[in-house]
Amino acid sequence: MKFLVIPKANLSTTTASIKIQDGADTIFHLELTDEQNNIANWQTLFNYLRKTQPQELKDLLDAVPQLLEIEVDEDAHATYLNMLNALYMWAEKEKNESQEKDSAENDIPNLYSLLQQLKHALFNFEVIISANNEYYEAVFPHPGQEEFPVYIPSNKFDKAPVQTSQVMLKKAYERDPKYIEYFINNYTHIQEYVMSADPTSFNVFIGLSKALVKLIKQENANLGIYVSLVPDICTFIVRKEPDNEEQKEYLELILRSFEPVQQKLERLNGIIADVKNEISPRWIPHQANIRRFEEDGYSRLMHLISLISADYLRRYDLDSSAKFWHNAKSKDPVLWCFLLLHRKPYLYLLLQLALLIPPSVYAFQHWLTGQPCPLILGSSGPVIAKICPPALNSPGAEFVIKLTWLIWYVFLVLLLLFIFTQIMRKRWLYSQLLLPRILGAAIVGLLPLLLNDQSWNIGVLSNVFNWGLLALLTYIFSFIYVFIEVHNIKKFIKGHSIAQVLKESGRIFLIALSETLFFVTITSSLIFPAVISNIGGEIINYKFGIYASISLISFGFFPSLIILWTGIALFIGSFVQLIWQDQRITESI
Amino acid sequence: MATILIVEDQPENQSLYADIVYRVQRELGLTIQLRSASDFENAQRALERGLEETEEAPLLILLDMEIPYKGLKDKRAGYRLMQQYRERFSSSSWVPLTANIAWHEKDLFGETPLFDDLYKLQPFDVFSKGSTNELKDIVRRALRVEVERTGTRSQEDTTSLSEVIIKFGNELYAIPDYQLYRQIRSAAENTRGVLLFGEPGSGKKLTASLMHYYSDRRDANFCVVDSMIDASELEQMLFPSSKQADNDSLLDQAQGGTLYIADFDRMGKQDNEEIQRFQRKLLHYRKYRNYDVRIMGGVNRSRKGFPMFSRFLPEILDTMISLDLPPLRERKDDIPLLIEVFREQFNQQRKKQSERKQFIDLQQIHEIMQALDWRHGNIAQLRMVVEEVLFKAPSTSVTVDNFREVLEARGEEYASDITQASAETDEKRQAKATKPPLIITDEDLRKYGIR
Repeated sequence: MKFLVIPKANLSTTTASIKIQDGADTIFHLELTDEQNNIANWQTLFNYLRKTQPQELKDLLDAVPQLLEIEVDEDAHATYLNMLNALYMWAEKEKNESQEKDSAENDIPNLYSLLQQLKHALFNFEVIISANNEYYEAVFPHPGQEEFPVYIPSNKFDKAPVQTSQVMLKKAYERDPKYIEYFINNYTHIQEYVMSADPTSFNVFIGLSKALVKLIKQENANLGIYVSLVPDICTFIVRKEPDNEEQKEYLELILRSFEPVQQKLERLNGIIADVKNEISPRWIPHQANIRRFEEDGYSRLMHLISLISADYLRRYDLDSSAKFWHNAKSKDPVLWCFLLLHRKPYLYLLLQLALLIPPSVYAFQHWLTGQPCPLILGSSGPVIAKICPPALNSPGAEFVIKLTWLIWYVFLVLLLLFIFTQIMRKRWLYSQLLLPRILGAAIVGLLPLLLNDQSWNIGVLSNVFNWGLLALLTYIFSFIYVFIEVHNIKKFIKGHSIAQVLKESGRIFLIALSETLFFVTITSSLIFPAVISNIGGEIINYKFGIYASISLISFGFFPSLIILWTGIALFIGSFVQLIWQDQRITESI
Repeated sequence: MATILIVEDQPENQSLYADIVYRVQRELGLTIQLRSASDFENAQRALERGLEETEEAPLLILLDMEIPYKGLKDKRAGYRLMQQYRERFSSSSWVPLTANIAWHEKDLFGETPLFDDLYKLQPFDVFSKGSTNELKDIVRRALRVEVERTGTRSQEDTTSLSEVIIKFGNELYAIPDYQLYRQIRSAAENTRGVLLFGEPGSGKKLTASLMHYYSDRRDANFCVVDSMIDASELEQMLFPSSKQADNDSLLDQAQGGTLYIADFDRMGKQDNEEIQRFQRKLLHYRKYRNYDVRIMGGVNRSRKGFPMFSRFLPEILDTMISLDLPPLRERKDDIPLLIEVFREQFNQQRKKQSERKQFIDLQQIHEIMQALDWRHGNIAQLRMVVEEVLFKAPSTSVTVDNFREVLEARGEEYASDITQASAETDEKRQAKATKPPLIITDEDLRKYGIR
């Protein structure tokens, strides 16, 4: 059988006469201009033949198995590949359509087998282990021309697959670029077909994929022009790579690629869905290993999401980063809480305020009475007993305040417990949702306040106007800092708006605020009993607050102090951030 | 025509399963038509068609358990389909595909575990979605059953020899399908002596050592008398005299083991009478001096026309069985494994184990070597050629070109063979054209810092 392309020069266009001959018989004959000779046009042609000249199409299809075996001249080869590729795409479409209808209506018998034959001939990347086990013989698909076997020493490949593959690709490209070009151009199809190949072919293919990414990235061996293919290749590697570090390397290339935002999001979600599917509980032969299998799979998924979500956090896209975690559909309660904090931080703030209101009401009522000293509950300590009125004996107030503080401590203990167990189970990957960097900075901001007596006085003894102004300024400046940070990054992103920046920075601010409030409330109330001796006589002036020393716990609660300190801690924290300015405030640690 | 039905709703999975089936099908050399269905109704229709006379029942049915039923995903639609058609398609191999653990545990509504129900329907096997290799194995097993049923494969494959262990020097080699294996093995298990007939270089000594290895005398010595020795010396070496120290004679050394005497028909180039005297003496020593030695004799020619009874005493022939070793040109299928063995030996003798020589493109090497006649020395000749190639090849990778060079350098005795060989290989290759292979050598890798 022969595949011939005979060029005919007309006045304006060049036409090629395409013939498929078996001996003296011409099976197929067609004339196409140069512009028409492309895959899309061939596909249309097959559709046309199917409707108008089914017999001709049938003859052609019958000849395909033989056609795949022949060798084609250099000038005819491009046309030959166009035709086969188009035929493959057309057959796949036909197969899908016939499946949607009733397959009995399909008037092309053996369409499926034909499709598989085409697929095999066009995209079969194969690796044969040499008889003595010392070489892998990689055969690159390239129908219509001679095979091109490349031998690689197997022990070297097994030791350093990526480097060896790089050498292999480079040398093969030097020897005959068209084989490698065909391989790269049809990468996605070959990748799909290699999934069903034997493990050796598959492993060598993964090695080659990694090497290809490296070569393209280094713009080595003239492969730089294939840069748009990198996300596709990396997606395949990330899906199949069990090693976290390797996975990270190639995932970052996807994240950094210049793909349209929506396409990238789809790709990333696809990867997550794929990995999730792979680790989904299923029956495996050794029941005992199920748990291990699940744990490994789960931590792999978490790792993957944390990498993706961290990247979006770095760009202050909190919605997307949360969505990735949400897509994991994990049943982990801590993740769930963190995610809620991340998406709706005001809920946490409201919950904390709700907890603070009942004791504040008591403190306020006490303040209205005009008595010196804070409201004293339980037994008053020796220092306070000398200068302050005796403790209030009110079971109702005591109960409410005890309950409130119990809830705070339960929260704290639960948080620590959860964090500890998650670290033990190596699942502590979603800590980034807490924005740990800004939380750390706020804690650093809190430390000087705790260790300085003056700050207690500023928090409690300032007059209302000064206190209010100070508090307001600290909050406003902290917010402005966050806003500037976010805006600095967002301004480079296409289609951003100030409203969006305000929304994101507001959310980051609220997350930071609710976290700082939590820590300030707990630490300030716990430390107060210890600083009483230093404050000494001035305790008389601490009117708006509660000092409780009830069975087991003693603490001081001063609403104005908490509000002011939260602001100052945030304020100092923001400026601590300036030291780390090369990194984002949302970065994980 | 035989068919395989794939019922799966996700296109990417369907195409993966089709690929797997196609690969196995190619591997087994079968032509089977593929059909697919993506939901319950289509699958039903496809199966109904299988019941009609025009079409055979599918050989294999890969059936996803969760497929759409009336347009909605239904976790048990696949199971119901199987229930409905299992009996009518009793000859088909049903392979349910599941991805859900609910099949293995009680589900939320506390119904009976479906996994047990599934097994009640006697599937060929159940595939838990995951490793493609596992599915490949299942498909392979299912199609093998078909192969056996239709007998499309010759008997030879099924009765192919198991791995053979061959001993060279102190090393053992595992060699599959050595042609003479069966004969050697059964002769070895016999307790009699063996007379080995074969042209010089056809591997008589090697065969004798193999037979020793396979016999129950393996733990005792294997001694060899070569053909260079002259008569008086041979007598001295062979038969222990009372004056000699105990372990000095070969019969002593080979006590309990095997003694191989090369040139058994000419022992030290003696005349017929002398030889028969030697033979008598051998028999005497074995019979009356209690030497338990198995004698193997080599004769440097083929058995055809050999004056057996004039050379050997009838008594000695009684104690021996004869075995022919055909020349290498008559068993060229052994050439590849011999080449491999010689390479291995060569590598082991090298001081630097890191520089092991390897053959590239074995297929071509085998073709060119098998096309030669090996008329001038059989295995010994082959060995010389292989060793010369290995010795002369500049790098650790030895190609077919290195072989060509050596064969050409060896001159006329090979010249006619080579042209014949290349003509033959070219003819064979025409069906499957290959470019000269690209070989990534250790040197290439070293340049890039890979050691």
